[in-house]
Amino acid sequence: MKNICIFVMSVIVCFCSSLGYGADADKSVVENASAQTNYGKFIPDISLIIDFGYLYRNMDNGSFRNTVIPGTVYSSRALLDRSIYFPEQGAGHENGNSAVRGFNFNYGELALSSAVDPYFDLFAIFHLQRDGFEVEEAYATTSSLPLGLQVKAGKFLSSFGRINEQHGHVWSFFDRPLISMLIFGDEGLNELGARLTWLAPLDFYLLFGGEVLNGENEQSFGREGLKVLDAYTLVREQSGPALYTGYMKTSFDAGGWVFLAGASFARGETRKEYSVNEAQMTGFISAATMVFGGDLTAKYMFDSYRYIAIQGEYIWSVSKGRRYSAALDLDLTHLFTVIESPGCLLEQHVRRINSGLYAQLVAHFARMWGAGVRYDVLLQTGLKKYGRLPRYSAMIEFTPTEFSRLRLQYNHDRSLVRQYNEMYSSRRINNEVILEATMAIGAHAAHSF
Amino acid sequence: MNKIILIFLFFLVPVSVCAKLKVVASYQYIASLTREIGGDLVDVVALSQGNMDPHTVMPRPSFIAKAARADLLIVNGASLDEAWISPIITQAGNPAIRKGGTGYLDLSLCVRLFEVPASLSRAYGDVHPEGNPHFHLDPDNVPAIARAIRERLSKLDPPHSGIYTDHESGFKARWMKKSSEWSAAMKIIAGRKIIQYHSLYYYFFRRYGIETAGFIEPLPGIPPSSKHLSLLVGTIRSEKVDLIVQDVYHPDDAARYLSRETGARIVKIPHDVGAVENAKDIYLLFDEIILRLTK
Repeated sequence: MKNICIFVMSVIVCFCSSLGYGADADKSVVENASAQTNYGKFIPDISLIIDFGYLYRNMDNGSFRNTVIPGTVYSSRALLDRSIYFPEQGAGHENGNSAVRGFNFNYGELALSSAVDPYFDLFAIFHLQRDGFEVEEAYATTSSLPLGLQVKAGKFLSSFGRINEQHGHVWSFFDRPLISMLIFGDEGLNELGARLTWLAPLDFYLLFGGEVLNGENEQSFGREGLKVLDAYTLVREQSGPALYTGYMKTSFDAGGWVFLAGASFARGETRKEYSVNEAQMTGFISAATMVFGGDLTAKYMFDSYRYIAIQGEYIWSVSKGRRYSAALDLDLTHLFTVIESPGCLLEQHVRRINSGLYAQLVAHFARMWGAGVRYDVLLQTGLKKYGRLPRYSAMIEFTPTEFSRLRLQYNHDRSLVRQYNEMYSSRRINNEVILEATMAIGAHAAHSF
Repeated sequence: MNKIILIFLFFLVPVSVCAKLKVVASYQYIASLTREIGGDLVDVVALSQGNMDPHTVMPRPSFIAKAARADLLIVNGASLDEAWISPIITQAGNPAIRKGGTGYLDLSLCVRLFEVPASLSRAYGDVHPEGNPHFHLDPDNVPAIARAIRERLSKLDPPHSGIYTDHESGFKARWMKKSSEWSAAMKIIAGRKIIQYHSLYYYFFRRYGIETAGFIEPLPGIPPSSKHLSLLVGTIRSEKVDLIVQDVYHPDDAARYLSRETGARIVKIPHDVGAVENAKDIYLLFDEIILRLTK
């Protein structure tokens, strides 16, 4: 027992020293500890990112919480014309990111990574919220497969599109683009599964990838089954993976410009229970959803510190299938408790298209200063009466070093709707100013394109 | 369908049909040196551009494509290229060039590093735990680097090891001759004191007995404040500094301010092959540095 304690202590000491906390007074201790065990060398790369800020918004907190991006909302209007209608609840304003007016702790990110052995690398990224600690990513990658092949397995962000795979602190703007929010939700397409990529042995970058994923996404994918009275199976539960993606990325350098273009595809089952307005009505959707995406990034370096970057992404999705719900004229709280007579069960065909895009321009015009504008729009959503739903953003950022950043962002958001009840909703215009501070300590984060 | 499979197989065939050793270097000086040793037997490409800040290279996806097919990746090491090379290595999926692989060579391990920090904290700016990483600017370190490259090329390509050894000894003889020319030329400014932006030329000035009296940046990687510059004006005057050495990638407004205030002369010198037009290879890099300093 004593030995274990000594071991744990020395590991902690080595850990502290590897983080640079080893004060001079502790030096002899550190040296002794590493002389005995030398485990310090095996400590994985550890880094911690903290993101916090201040928010001003013209809507009060209560009103903002009651708004949603349409499209993600179950709309009764769609029920009337029997054409379109969808399960999801509102785009989550529940997570910690600038949730309230005033000061916000947005998130923390604790990342650990290391080589496991000559064959595997391991990565784990923990997402910290004020009262939560969750595994955001935890995956292994192979490092010695031949022929340009690489496998990644575990829980990870899908490589669909450009922005999905990146963590929030890498983005040029504070918030997730609307279309990504609409189709993949607040946390993006973050799934359990495996990926295979193949890097073509060419002089330019050409990567093909495919993923097999469980398919349990907040917005678009699910694999639950629907059983009525624990006996009659209306929709079977998907036993294996329910989501497949495929993508291609290519890059080339042309006269000082670097281009990166990608095309992505995903197909998955959408078998989900849903509820609207807390307890008003519950239903079930059983559909197949296909998502197509295209992205383009172009970057021009003027010198070592100044660049301009243009980035855009378009995503289109279609869902086709059936939805089951309790008949409308019954004031029902839960479908499954009341389906005793089949007449109460409403079965409808669903065909639903979502699409949208964002385009942004960022200029890093000085070593420590950058600024950018973004146009963000939902082109097709469940609520047709509002047409296009745009959001305009502008930001200016100050980056003293690569480990710290202060950013001021303004959003003029015309994408939000207040859902009063089944039948009635109204559009809300949201203006917000976000001051965001992002700080990183620990292992030197890898630079990225 | 058959056609598609054929095309696919074509891509899969390793391109080792042409037997040239493929070498990828993180910096231009490494590529130049590798060309000296490898000659026609190797295909060398450098990833970063010579006129860019070596600390902040943007890793382009095209680097991944190059690294994926390399037989040998040569890096500077000492945390200079680590941050942008490691994602390239991870994504290239080429087992040979991974750390510890036969095709991974870290040059910082074959020379003695100076300015090793006694304690580490990011509060001291962008410090390198291993020491100052700009060791290639000491001409006396270059033969050791050349030797490390020769040893690795010979190991990867044993049939041609004799040729690599010949190239190396030829290079060394030429280098020694040039080195004595450079020593003679540098005598003109020996014992002088200079100001530089970053401790980029530490090894160079150490070699020629020139003292750096101050840095334009207050801490490594941190741009100067006006307070720091006014202190520096005092240093320049009290230490009788008459040269402000400016690299090609940092903004030179601070140097121009100091020059205006004190009358010290600004000399812009290259730090890597390709940093200025004349620095076309490793010899010309030093020729150009010394020519500009002694002009």
